[in-house]
Amino acid sequence: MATSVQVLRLTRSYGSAPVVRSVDLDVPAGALVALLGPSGCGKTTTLKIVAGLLAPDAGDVRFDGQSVLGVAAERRPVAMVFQKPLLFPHMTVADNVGFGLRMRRTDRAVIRRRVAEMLDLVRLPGFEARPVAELSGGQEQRVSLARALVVEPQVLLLDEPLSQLDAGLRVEMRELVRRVQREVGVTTIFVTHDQEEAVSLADRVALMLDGRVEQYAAPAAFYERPASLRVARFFGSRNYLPGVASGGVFRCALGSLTLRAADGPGVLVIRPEAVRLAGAAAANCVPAVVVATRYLGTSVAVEAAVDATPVHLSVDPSVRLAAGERVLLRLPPEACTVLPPD
Amino acid sequence: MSAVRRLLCLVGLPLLLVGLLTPFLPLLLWSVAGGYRFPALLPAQTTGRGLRLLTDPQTKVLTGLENSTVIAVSVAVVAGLIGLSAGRALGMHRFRGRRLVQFLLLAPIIVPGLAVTLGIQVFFIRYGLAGTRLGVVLVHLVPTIPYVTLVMSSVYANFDPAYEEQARVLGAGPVQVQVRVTLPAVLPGLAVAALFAFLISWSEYILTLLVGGGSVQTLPLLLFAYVGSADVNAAAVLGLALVLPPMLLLGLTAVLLSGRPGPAGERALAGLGRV
Repeated sequence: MATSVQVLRLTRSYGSAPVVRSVDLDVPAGALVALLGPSGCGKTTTLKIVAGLLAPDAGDVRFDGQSVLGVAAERRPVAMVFQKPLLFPHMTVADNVGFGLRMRRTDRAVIRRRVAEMLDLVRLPGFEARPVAELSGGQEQRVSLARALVVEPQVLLLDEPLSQLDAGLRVEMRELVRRVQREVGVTTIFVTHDQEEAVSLADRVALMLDGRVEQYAAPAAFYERPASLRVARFFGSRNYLPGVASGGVFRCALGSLTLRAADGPGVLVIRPEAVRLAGAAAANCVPAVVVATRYLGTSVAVEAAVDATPVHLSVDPSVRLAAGERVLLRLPPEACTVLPPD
Repeated sequence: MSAVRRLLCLVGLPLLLVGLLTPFLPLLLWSVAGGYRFPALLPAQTTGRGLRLLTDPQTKVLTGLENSTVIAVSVAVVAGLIGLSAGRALGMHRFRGRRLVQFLLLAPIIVPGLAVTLGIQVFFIRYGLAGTRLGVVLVHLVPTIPYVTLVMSSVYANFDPAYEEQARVLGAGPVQVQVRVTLPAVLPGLAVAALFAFLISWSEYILTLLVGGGSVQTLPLLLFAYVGSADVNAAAVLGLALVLPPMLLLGLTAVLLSGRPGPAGERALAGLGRV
């Protein structure tokens, strides 16, 4: 039932400015993939090309291996939800949700039943007769989602549908989108600039920077094994230690560390959560001095210094550290990634 | 603030109504006056002559009413259709030469209609359009299309094209998108713009006279003829006949547009306000 989507070497420019540069993306049938990136990175353009609203300059879009480039947007088995709810103001909720079915000349009784089902699915039962102007922001976006799902699309495209909602509602809506996607089982591409949203929602995340897919992997990989320094920076890594690797030893400002890395110059990246406090001297341990601590409720952010090199770590709030205290830091080899300098 | 508003409602509104309606009072009096001399406040006798003139086939008032209606409605429809597409192009797209097109569209408002018509009248005669209703409709399009296009381009500039993309990805073809989504959204503005075209055409005198050549008699032409012949009864009755239909139409449009629920109604009012 569900359809897989392949995007192959997709390229698109606006005038002379390239926006999408040879993007490849393979979305398995029934999966929820997040297209993550800062504004202007080309993620919405990619989505619109998949929807058929824009034509690519080069490359291909395939559903189940079949190219759909020659198919007009209204004939593709696709439905899209935009950043704004875009409910048609001259229609009731029921007319909005039933719009796609009316375009397909579905029988009236069937439309009425399907609209009721969809409103149940997005937890707005009985809203059929409401005028659109009376809905709240979250309700509007839920109606918009119901309107997209009612046509039973094989591919669902979501273009930052939650970005205009306030924080609490956004988390609630995230759960709703996830639940609905699981229930319907539709292949979904979700565009967002919010890394937390991407990581918590998606089966796989594609990080787009400057029109290219920088890394396409399961959410955890972005924290544990970033593909490049740009990816690590986007995900908020704070420890960057330039050095040189040779024969399984990495020499940097912290001294010599044992870890797996290709020989040559590189930058060691380790997340603050992965840096440990060690009791006794062992492999990959470095003496340091606490410079400052910041209490964050569920953790304490600590800035330590090895000579003049700052190392950021995050520790449990039960650990009491004061500025000036001497500590021993351990950098577990499995948490260290050495990336080529850019 | 609310005190000021209340004062405006209590004093301003009646003042406005009096100011608008007072000019019609003499018109009403003259239309039924048998003898009406200077010191008298009201006419000495009343007469039904003015009203009888309206239906007398000799006076051609009914023909004039028919001509005026057919011409003004045709102008409103044609100018509305042209303005709809021209307004969309100007309001929603940024293209090379857009400013030039905008200027050319406004030119007929800037250049006096009389000057333009004197020039093109020759062609109307050559192609047999002079003295026909079709010719009059065509020449009335000259001053109406700019207004309709202007209104429609501001209506389209406020229309989010994302609505059309949304409709397409839900399975609506190009025609369905226009009919089901875009047209309902711009309809209030279009109604206002077409009403403008109707009003301009309805009260047009010079252009009708030049191209109609006296054989297409509209209400304004008849009115001028009676004013010239000093038949005050007839002029007053015709004046009322000229004023009433547009006023009814204006009132009807206002009621229909303000009765629309939600943002559509607000947009219509915005469209009116921007003109």
